[in-house]
Amino acid sequence: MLFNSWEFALFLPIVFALYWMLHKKLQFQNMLLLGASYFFYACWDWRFLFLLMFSTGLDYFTGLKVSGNDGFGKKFWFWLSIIVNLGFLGVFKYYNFFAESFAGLLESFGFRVHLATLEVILPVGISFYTFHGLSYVIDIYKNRIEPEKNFVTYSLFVSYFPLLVAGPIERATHLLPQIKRKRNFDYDKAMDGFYQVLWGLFKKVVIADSCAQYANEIFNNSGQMNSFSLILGAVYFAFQIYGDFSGYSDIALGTSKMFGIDLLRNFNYPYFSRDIAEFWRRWHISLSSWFRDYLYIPLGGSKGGMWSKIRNTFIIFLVSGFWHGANWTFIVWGGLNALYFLPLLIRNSNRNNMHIVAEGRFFPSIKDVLKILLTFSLTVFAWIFFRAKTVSEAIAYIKGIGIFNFDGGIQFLKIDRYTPELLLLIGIFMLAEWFSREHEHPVFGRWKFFKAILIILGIITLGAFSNVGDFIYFQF
Amino acid sequence: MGKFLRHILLFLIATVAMMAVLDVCYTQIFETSPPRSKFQLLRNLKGQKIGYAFLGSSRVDNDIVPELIEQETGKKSLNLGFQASKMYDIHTILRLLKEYDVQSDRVFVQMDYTFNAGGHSNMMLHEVLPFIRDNEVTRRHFAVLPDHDALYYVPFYRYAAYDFKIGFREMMMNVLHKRTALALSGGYHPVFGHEQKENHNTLPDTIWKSNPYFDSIRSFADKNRLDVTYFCAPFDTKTKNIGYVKLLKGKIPNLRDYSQSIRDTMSFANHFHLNDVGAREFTTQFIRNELKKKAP
Repeated sequence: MLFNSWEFALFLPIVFALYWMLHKKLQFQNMLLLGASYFFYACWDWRFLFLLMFSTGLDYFTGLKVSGNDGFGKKFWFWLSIIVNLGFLGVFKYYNFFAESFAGLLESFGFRVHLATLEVILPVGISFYTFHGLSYVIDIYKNRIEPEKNFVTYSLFVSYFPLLVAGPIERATHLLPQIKRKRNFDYDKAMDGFYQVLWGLFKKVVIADSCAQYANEIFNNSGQMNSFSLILGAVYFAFQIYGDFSGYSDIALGTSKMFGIDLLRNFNYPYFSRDIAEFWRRWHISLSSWFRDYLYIPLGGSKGGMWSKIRNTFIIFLVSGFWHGANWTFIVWGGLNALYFLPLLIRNSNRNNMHIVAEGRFFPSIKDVLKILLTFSLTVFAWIFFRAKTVSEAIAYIKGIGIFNFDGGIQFLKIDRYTPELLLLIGIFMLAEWFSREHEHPVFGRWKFFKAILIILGIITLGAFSNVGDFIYFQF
Repeated sequence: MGKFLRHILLFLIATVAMMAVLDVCYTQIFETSPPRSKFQLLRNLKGQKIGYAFLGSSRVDNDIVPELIEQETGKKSLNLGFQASKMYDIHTILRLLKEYDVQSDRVFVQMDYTFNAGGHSNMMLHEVLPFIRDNEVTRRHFAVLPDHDALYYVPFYRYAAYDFKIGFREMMMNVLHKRTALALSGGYHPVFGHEQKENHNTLPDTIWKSNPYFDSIRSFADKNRLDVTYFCAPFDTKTKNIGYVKLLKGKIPNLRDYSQSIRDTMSFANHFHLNDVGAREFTTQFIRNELKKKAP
């Protein structure tokens, strides 16, 4: 069930109505949300529901055991949880990658091997709910939280439908207290959630799905494209993935607000970042902070010498790349971002841009504009690897840009479109984002009702409904 | 909660109202703008008389050059070939000629392996959709689609569902009176060059006993006393199972067979479609054999 589907448009009001009818009984509300979440998940593939339930049961149980034991017992249950969780992720997501890479490596030494690969479908959301469970058990192990005794409450923390398949990756410290607390209907919060859902839909249906048509066409025919078209293709993909994932996150956050639950903010206008460090504080925030808290800091973080800082930074970016998918393209993408980070780390300037760009002002300074453009260009360059099917395809694409071939000028695509046609839409979208950068989404202030109407009008008229695609991050 | 529900209801009403208004605006624009699509071209000829109308699939779309016909015969002609058209679509177009009262001295219907095909062309749908409420023929054309009721009754649904073809961009092109090469060339859609690929080069080795839509086309033409001539456009000489055309002649004895009339492979874009050079050569042959023969 997609957020931008008719099924969801039916599912959400029904669950919403039942949920607030039960507002006097918190436990019933939670049970309803859990049941609805399992139904939501089963709509993709009911068989994987058992995997989700098993994973939930395992972390619930090991969480209790970790808390109730000391010494060896504590370590045993902790590592059992980690190994089983990562084991599932390894089998379903990475087995084929490792088997094929290993076979390829042996072949390069002259050995021919035929390792069996698994014909398995990747369970939707496995990377997200596994990380939920991991953070929960790690937090208990580190004595940051107490284990949750109520199984329904814990299950809802893992399986809450707005975040189940593509995040944001929640923390027990943030979400569990909200699930346990009685929730009263709050008109302002619910309306804000509704507006955020609208904005998320706009980003997905108008921006992401429109950009996808152009980006797909250019990437799939990159051999016939001149440098200008290839640059545009990469820019379109940058907006496709941003509109897609941040749009999804806005719908998730907005939906959850309607149920009285706040989720962690996942995006904060990343394309206005002035350096790559700021970009990573604003892009997929829940994942970046997860890696910071559960990998970077345990590795030593910024403590120690420069060398260990650099090593730790590379580790988290490479792991982050690998988290996205079992393909060398994602690892190169992660590595590139680590490289971008390096000068900031060496100059100790990675925390320079902590505030909102041009805060309280209408226009940014020239210096800020140049910094934003540079950061955006670096990001777009890295996205080429993220989008390409193989590293060699990405390199060929970059070579196509690098030869500065502008023959044919503005190219006409097989989809009956000129390559730069979307730039105006993207420009308007960026303006809307610019004027909202001090808020969570653009629907705020006195005119929010009319802004919402304008967004609906935009969705109706500009939505790429004949090209409705899955959310990109579902595959991760 | 009541206030929240009232607001949501207000947004729902506003959404439906906007869809209704947009539907009216878009339809009005498509109806009144200078034609950009082939269907608009046909619709624009309401109540007019033309010399020749050519119906069929891409093998008409890419193969018949109305401009040459007009030069040679002095009569206006219209290429009404739609990509991937089936008999069902040809039947619709034939009925629409009548419905829109477009009188044609002669109607040519291209016949080939489409005799062995049911179904309809998705390529034509979007061109007809803005005019779905024009008449019974256009309405019934969509009856085969699962969402035909939504396309007909739900305001703006058709423009959203086919947004890539008739959405905001196409509407704006109509507003700006941007003409297409196709509309300026009487519906001819030239293809250039020659594909080296060997795919799609085989005709069926058997023929259907009958095609209900072909029977409908024939009985409609008879009933309305339309002068319909069936013809088979050229195939590349390397096409396999060319004997299929003989089988087709068995079904349509008066079929004008041009299947082997163009011998030069380089005049074909691929095995089934002529390129621009071939299309001009074929149209010239066709004029000589079919049109000038009867011309005064």
